[in-house]
Amino acid sequence: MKKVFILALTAFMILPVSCNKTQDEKQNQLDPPATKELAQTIRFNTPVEIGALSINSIELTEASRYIIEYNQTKADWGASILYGTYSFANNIFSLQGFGNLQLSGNIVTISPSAAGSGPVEVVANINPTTTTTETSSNACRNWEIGQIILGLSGGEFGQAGIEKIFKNGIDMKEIGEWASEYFPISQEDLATIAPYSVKEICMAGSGSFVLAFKSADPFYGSYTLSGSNFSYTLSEDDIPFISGGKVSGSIEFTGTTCKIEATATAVYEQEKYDATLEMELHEIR
Amino acid sequence: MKKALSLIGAVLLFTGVTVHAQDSQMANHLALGISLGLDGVGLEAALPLTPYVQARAGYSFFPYTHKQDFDLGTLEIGGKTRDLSRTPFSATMWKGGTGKLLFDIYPGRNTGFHFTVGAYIGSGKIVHASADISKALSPQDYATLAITYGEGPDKIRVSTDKNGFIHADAKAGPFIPYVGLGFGRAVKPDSRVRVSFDMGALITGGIKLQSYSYLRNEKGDPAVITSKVLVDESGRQMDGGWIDKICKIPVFPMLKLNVFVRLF
Repeated sequence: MKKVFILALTAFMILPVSCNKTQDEKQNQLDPPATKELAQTIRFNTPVEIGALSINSIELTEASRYIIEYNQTKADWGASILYGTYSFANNIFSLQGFGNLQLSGNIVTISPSAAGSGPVEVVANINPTTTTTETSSNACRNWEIGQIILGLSGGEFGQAGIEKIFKNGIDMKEIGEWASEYFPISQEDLATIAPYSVKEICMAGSGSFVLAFKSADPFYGSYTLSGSNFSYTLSEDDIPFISGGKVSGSIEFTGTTCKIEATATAVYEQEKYDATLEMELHEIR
Repeated sequence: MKKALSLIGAVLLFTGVTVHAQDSQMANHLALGISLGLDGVGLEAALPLTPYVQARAGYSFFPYTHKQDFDLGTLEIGGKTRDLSRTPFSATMWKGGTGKLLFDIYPGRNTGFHFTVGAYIGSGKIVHASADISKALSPQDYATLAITYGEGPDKIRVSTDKNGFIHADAKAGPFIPYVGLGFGRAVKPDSRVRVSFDMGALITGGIKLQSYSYLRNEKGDPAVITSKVLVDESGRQMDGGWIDKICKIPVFPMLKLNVFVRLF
């Protein structure tokens, strides 16, 4: 018994430094997006005039969002798309804030909700959207941004740089107020950027990419996926400080979370900076 | 490292064979002791496995923390300069303490001289230093703002923890083999109190100098600082290559005095 006690005592003394915890991680999987079977792109051979809009295409995404691309009539910062939520019932697509769509073969009937605009019936090219890879199938959703890590190096920083984490997504008021602690940012600048807090990111199977804001018109562009390589391009008019409006990096899915790590080259006051952005995205159901 | 592990394995094998042959000697006494050495102060339990082999297991920690204010100059971010001229700094050794399992091998049945092999197990943080720069930053930047240096895979990131402290370690692996020699037996049936002495080397295989970023992990992601990383814009190593030279030293010396009391 004495020997057992001694060996047990010895083992006990070693135990606290040699034991390992095991963690059983259960990972959730993404369910198919809500309107995956309804996803399609409607392109018009000649723009369809609805009120003041000259519509080129209507896209119905895999996750209940519509994107109406129209000709831009003014050259200032503004959207060339209408963006919103749609639902489908009784063979009618209801596009919130715009009106209804009915499809019959290659005939599209557009019934705008705005007063004074009657139904329009036009011929269109209608192409269902299909996703071919698991990554693209996972990506084609609406995402809200969780925490982000912004990085900036080069330019005035030389070899050094900074990284800053923001837990509440891209909240431009919060980001601007923090940046003004270190950089010369005026109250006017803060007021200009504040509306551009990101509400959601929409990635569609067609390759459309929408950055929707809480208090400003959305930015519209395109994205590409190749394996885990990811890039998106927005108009340089919308993000003039990013060279070519292009941001590229990697995309990864863990359970119901999407993580994007992207880099871009930014130019500010003729200094060239390397910008990095890590985003944690959560699916909006 | 592999050689040291093989040596320990050989000793254990040897111990097993000897125990079988001298079964009546196995673990029939136990001594508890305190130790004082370059691993700090500690508690050890010792038991003879045979007249030629003694096992020791224990835990030690370093009770002293050196504190001093240092002039770290200024920290410039954007247009703002933060004063770090009187930065409180503290340093200690063996953070978190170390567990140890050692085997003393005696060339004779009654000799005090012995060889020792075994291992130290713990965080591997041989030296741990921290600097309080909380007054130089806004509280909202604690653990959320990192300074980066370099580019590509060698890029390092350093931030404060959530209390505004920057941490750095000279770190070995968590399992550090030990070889050495010593004098004295921890357990001798005819005496209650015994004194023994150890001198040897911990085979670290080299150490890493690292700081941490707490942005992505509240426990800290290590940022390994090497001479290769610390180059200026002209490509000159700012430390003259000394960090790499020191980090390549593969051993850490150990001196230790032990006093044991035989329980039975």
